[in-house]
Amino acid sequence: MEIVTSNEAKNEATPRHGWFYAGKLALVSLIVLLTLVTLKLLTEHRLAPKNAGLQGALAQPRLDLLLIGSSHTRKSYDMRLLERETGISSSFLISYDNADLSTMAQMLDTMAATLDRCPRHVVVEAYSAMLGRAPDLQDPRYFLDAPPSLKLRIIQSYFANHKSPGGVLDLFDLVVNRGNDEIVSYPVYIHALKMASYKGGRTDFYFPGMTAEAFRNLQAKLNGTDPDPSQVAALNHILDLAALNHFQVLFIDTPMPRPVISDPRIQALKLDFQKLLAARGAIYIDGDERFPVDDPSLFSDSNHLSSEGRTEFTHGISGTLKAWVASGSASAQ
Amino acid sequence: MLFNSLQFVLFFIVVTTLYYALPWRWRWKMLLAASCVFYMAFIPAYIAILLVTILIDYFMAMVIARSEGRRRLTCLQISIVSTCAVLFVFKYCGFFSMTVRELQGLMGAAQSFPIAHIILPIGLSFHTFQSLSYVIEVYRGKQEPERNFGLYSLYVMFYPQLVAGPIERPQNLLHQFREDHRFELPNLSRGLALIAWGLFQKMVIADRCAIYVNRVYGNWQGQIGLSLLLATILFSIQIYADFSGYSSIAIGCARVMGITLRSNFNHPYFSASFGEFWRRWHISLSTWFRDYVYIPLGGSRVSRPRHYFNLFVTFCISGLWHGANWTFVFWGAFHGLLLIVENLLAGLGLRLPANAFGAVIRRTILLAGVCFGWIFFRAPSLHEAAFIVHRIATGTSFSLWSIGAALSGFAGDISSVAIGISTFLLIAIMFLVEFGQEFLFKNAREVFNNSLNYQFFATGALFNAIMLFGVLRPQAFIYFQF
Repeated sequence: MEIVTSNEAKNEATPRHGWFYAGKLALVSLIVLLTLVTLKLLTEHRLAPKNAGLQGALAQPRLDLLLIGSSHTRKSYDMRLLERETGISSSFLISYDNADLSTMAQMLDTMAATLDRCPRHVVVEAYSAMLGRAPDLQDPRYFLDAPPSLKLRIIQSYFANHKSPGGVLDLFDLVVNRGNDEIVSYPVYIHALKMASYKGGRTDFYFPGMTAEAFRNLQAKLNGTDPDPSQVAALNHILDLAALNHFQVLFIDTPMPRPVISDPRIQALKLDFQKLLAARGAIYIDGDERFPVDDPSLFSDSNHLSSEGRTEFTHGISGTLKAWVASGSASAQ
Repeated sequence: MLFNSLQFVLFFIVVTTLYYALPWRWRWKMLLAASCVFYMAFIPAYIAILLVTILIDYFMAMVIARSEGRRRLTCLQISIVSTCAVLFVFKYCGFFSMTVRELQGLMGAAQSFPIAHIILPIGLSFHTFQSLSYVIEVYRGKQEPERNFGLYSLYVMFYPQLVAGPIERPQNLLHQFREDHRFELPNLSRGLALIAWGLFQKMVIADRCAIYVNRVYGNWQGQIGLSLLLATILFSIQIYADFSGYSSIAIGCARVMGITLRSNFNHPYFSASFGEFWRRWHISLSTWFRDYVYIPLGGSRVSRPRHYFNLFVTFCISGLWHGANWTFVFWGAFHGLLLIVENLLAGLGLRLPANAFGAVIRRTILLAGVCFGWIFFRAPSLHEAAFIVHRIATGTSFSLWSIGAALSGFAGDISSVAIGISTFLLIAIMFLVEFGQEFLFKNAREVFNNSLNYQFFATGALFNAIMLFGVLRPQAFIYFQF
């Protein structure tokens, strides 16, 4: 490369040279960025962990029981305990922060298209507050784990709902900026994830319970109070997918603290959820019903269980899940 | 309008294009108008406060230049007092009233003193000091008073350095506005490289560190010692990258227009002593205090106790300049004490050996002292700072569990591992570049400044690093609050 020194450039430069220089700089930088990002989008899912998330589920040789949902699901099921109490060894949990019905439908679609055999039993998180929210950008790990075709679907789906400049910037952030930390730290990150995961569930952090005062002050966090049409469509899509691919679906609303479920808006959304499922003949379990929702020590915040709460809930739901899987398997035979 | 926002990118392109498109006699007027727009993007009404400071010092400098003897000094005093009064009202009134109330409480009296709640105009401390340096230089006869009110206003308001410096001297900046700067490609190339480096420091290093620091310092009571220690170390990196980044962007923006601003940082964390640290950290402020406070107090050419007193007072005032809180005064006083101790030890002939071991020990002591000081700079009150120091001293362990718990502060879950590792790698890259310039390739800056190809490559690489690893949602600069 020819070295151009400042003194040589000084003699002849005009503002037009400046524009040319700045344009060349912008163009070259953007081409490099575009190349790097394209390469990332096409290959990063290969770096995704095989013991957690969507790629983890896709890597399972057999899936009798799949639990799918958001951080609620992650913090509600102890996978080791569940396996021990149900005796189902071919189970797996997929969870991404803020994953809603629309995201879950996308993942189940991908699994149905990719796997030779779909999961036989799927427990879908029925978090009522999520029903009122328009589909939004998800946990960047979901985007990282998604194969290119699913990535495209995520982008299209988001862009269809958010055409504002802010939405475009968010999308740019997701596509260009997110997931790079996981790639850079890949060997250590994957090792840490391996140590902290069991069948997709997390075993890493201890989440303490709340104090009585903090528990009393909890409030529901809601983005919408009426069922969002996209979420309703996604719910129906999941049920259609189950019918088409012959897998059983069970909807479980994991427990929430009393101050939150007492909110009439949450109650209304919960009722809407139940009506939608009843209309399609789907099974719904309200996690609050058989859980001590007044006990602060079992919750870590307004919508997640503490570590003790997770053990309690898993223990309580195991029998139901065992019976459901057994009945499903028997009817299939 | 933050330097790290899209809004500013557009503003910068328009202003620079207009600058070179206009005949030179119109340029300063356009720059003044652009600076007003830039300042008014924060809180429009506060431009009136700036105007008051400008008017006071503009007219007082004219009077000083025409006066002789005692009247000259009186005019300077009026100018200083009235400029500082503006600073006091907007910056220190709340602090003063709160302190009086606390004193009333301590003495058992009813806390009746009213508390003032005034929003601090952005960059007030910076342009107040820049304005003061002009009046003092005119008084000292080192600067002719500027008769053109617009040009003087531009000296105070020049947008790249308006809100957080570097604090310029009139001799360096004023005459540059009168010059016809022809477009030069090296200025553009070098300026863009500086802006890119500044944005890298701010968006990739400082804002990443801020994620951890804000999370830990925001919930300081519930943290283990190792988390607080790591947050303090990361804050020392954050504040450097944030402010040095701001300064580089400011210098780069001015450079593109052919205007040279003074350097504000020179790899301070590679200093071997506290004295050297202050010659490399926030240079424009340190030299301001040296020239206008420390030396007028007598500097070092007085008795030893008086010299130490001068040092201590200068650093206490410097601490108070940073913020209206006792934490900042403590921070300044602490650095003053460190310098006094350093001077005392040097006077006693107690020096570390001049070999590699001595160099490492000197720098370790420096970093430990500076980091300790930053705890007081970052903590909201002396009580909280004391708690943090105590927790670090008594509650820090390096067990596997503690390391895991401390690292989790980046995101609260397993992603912390990824964010933490890449943040440490990026910090290492920044310091490796500086280490190379400082110790390995002494002429690296000269070679870089003379090669358009290197600048082109560096700017492109930094742009990509910012896009891939930067925090893209604009975060305010720390020094904006001062």
